[in-house]
Amino acid sequence: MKGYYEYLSCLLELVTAVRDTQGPAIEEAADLIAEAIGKGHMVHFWGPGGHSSLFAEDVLYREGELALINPILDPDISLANGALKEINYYERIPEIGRAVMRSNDIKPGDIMVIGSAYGVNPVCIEGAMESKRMGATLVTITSPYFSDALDNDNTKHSNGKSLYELADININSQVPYDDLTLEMEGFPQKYGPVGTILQLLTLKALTTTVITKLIKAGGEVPVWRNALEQGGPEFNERYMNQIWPVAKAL
Amino acid sequence: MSKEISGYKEGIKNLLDLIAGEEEAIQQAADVIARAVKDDKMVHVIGPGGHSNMAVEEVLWRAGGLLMWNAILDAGTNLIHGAKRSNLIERTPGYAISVLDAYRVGQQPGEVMIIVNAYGINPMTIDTAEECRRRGVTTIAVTSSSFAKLVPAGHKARHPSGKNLYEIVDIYIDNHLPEGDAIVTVEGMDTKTGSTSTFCNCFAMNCISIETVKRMLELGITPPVIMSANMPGGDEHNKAIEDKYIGRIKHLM
Repeated sequence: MKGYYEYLSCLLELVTAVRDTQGPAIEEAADLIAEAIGKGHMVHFWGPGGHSSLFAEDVLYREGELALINPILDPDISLANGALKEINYYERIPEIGRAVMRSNDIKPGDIMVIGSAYGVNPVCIEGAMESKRMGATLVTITSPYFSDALDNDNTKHSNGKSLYELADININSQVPYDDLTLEMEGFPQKYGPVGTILQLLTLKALTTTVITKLIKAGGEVPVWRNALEQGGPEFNERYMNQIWPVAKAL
Repeated sequence: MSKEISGYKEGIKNLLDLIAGEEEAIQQAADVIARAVKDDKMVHVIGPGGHSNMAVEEVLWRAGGLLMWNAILDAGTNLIHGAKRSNLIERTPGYAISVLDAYRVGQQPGEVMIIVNAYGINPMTIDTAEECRRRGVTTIAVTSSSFAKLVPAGHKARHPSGKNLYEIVDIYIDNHLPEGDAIVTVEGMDTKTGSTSTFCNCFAMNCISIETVKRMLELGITPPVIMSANMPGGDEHNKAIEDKYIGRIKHLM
């Protein structure tokens, strides 16, 4: 075994599974999002927990991505301010989930897109419920394969729910239990995680479908230009004014 | 009380007296701020440098404080992200421009900026004052001249131009920072202890707030003063005031 070859081959299979099985869910979610945008509602993105925080970051002010959206980044639910603290402690405090939602301008009619590979931590579950209480429609990207197989009440919300169960629409990112794809005889630990990559590419599969639909529908489709190219930041200014300060992470 | 604590206490009391004595400058600032609020213009407050950030935090969403301050709390100079790192950032010429851009300062005419920096010499502070001036933003500084005189030109803590904050702003409120910041000598130690700059900065900001409340009443506007969220009835009292500002002040929510 080489490592990279087996890992990438495994990933290819899983990516193909996303492409070939999640079409209907992606289309349905994309229709919902496109409709909400058309009606002037906000679309929020959140990755509650550890590596999940990359979820929102990857659609934050990125060229080729939707501009008028609110990718939510929270200092507690992020590895940037202390990974051990976040994964072992903070993401198990449900009230933080509520605080994160309440510190964002979420209105009835908005869409909340929550991405969590494992879909179980208390912050994720409580936050998802809170967003629905605030009137948002919940689209999720998560893997029931993982949440259903996890047998540890200590790491779940007290209500025992998994993210996909709360969703109005769920897109299955195909993350296998236990996320790890490689093993070698004699070594006790599996390795080669695929969770973050599958979550991110499933998210991109969704956003590209939304943009495609919006372009087909006609009219202006607010998408960021590359800030590194000449004229990029100046072009993006027109959207900055519209999205400030709702998109706090900007 | 030990003689050192007593000395510290007397020193702080003396500084507060001196700052309170800056009545003319404080009232001038209060007038500018009250008028800006009356005209619905943004009033920003920034502490460009490590501990200076505390003066901005002091007035953000504080019980008994005014709510309309647009607190600029830059992560790069905040001590929580590394105290020594913060020092490197505050010494980066040009950095302030990005911060002002990120907080969209000077987008409208008639905006006001309070710059709190007791020492008044670091590159971020000087750039903030000059860039605000370029953008037509009225500048009010809470600063002093003691470090201006102490730190020679060309010192690495200074802006390349060697300018001092108190000299380049529209209104200068002297917070009387003692030379070296610390005022207590302990026998057996050459280096002084007992820091004063946070007291000076925060006291000055609260004095400005008080005089601004008075001036607002004189101008016929209701000062947006909030109650503690911990008091019974606090949240309810604050809601109407908060609703007005929540969409405009980045760090309020």
